[in-house]
Amino acid sequence: MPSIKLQSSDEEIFDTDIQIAKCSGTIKTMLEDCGMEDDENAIVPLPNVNSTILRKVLTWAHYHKDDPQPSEDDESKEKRTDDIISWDADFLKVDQGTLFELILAANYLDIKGLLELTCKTVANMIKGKTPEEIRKTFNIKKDFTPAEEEQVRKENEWCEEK
Amino acid sequence: MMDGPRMSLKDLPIYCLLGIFDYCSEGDLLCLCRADPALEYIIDDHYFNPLAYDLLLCGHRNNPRIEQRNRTRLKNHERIEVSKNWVSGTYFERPYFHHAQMFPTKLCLEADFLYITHAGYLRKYRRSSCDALHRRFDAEICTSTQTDISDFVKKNETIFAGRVCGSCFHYDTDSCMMTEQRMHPANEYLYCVDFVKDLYATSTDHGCRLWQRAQEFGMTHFDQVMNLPHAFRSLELSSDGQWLYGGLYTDDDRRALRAVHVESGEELVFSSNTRSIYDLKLKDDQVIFTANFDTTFRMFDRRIDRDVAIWEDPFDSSFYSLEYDGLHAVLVGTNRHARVNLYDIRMKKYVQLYFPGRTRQHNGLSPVYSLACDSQYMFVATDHNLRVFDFKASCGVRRDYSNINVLTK
Repeated sequence: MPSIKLQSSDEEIFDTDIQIAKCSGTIKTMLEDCGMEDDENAIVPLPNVNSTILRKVLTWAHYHKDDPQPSEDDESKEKRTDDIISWDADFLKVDQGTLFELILAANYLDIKGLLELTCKTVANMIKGKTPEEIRKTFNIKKDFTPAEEEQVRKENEWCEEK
Repeated sequence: MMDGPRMSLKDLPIYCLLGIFDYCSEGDLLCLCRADPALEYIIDDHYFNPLAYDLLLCGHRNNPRIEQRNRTRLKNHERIEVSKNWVSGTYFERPYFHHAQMFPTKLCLEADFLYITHAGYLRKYRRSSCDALHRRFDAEICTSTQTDISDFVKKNETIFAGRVCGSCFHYDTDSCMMTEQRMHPANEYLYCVDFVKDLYATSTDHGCRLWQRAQEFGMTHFDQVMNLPHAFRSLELSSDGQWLYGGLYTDDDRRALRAVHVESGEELVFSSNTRSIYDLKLKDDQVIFTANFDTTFRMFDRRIDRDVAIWEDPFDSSFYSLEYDGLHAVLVGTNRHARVNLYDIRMKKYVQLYFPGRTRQHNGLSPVYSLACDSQYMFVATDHNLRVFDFKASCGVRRDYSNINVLTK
């Protein structure tokens, strides 16, 4: 099976099956537009993805290599977050920093499935939480002074669920 | 990407955050808004902003006229919540300025002040952040004439008010210059007034007159430029001052809606099948809203000379007063129970009915003489007091009459 070399930002080379690499829209375009597909020694530079994240991305891509390509109709579908399969859930049991970097990498590499999955995972971390719990979960520092906090609380009192 | 401190949620670029927010419910997004001001800014701007374009009474598309009456600019997520309260009938109501003597009060709402008439005086009340209105007035505008004020208009710094006896006064709020002039004989009952630039219009139960304002030696006086034999109950001049639109108090031929070209005097009798018009408001240069005696509220289009929509009151009450938000919402005051109906001009049926509560002194049978609203408050002038509905109050109570006909069957 033909393979391709991917180079991470920290200059690690990943020898990858070309079909797996092509799940990334960015890599696919680069290969096709630059005519690198037939050149076995060609290296595709990925300056925005480090080796740790790229390894994770390729692991995910390998597991999902037989998945059907997401169609345009999928965008109009209901946005569910409870349809994450157990392998994906286990795969994303990582620290928040890695999770957010996976979002950035999926976005840069144009991997729709991984982007959806990571966004759903973060959305699940937000769902049903109070503002204070959200701050705690994501380690967000209070940008409000106590007076502003009180003001915000008062301003929003009227629309809080009764 | 791995260099430096670990990434946090707020480090993600906006397009990635929006990808996450797509999976969150409105409630979750509101919680995020309260958690952090930077997230609030992004969510409000990207998520709630498009949702708030065309909301009833809170929409912001093309900066509608209601925006000029808002004390503060609501955030987009607040707009959504407040508009929901309007639609579901969730509000806190408070009576203001009780008067033992009955009087058909007129209102004019601005961002910082509410102008309100009672008997022979016109008072200016300041609006505050913690309450709809101050209880004490800021200024009282009156002249030596004691007769009741039947109508007034305020535009920019000018107030023009008419008394039932036919005397009208012109007041400049900047210079505090007051001019009063008799414009109709005392045996006529003055109904309504309006002005655009230096063109003034007055109408009584006998006829309508147009006036040109002139100034000589620092003194203001009005020269009559037209005398029309029409008893307009309500009138409005077009924004360019070219046309006078009027609704007759009675027209036996059921053609009460008229227009008069100001320069030529040419009169148009519109094909709006109504006998009596109590209030009239221009939607734009071509479309006119009318509140009618025949229990209808109509939307008339000049271009095709017909009523393009007619809404009937569910309880067969006449409509006394109108208020328009500049987009799709019209509030119409009825002649009984101080009831106000909310209409979405894109829909056939009323959206909500608001019944002011009864007070110990009065059983709430009053008409709605005048209506004013901004996105948060509705001011309803009844015969004895002013009722203020706050649709953003934390202690708002839901009184949903949107399906009252179904409930009573």
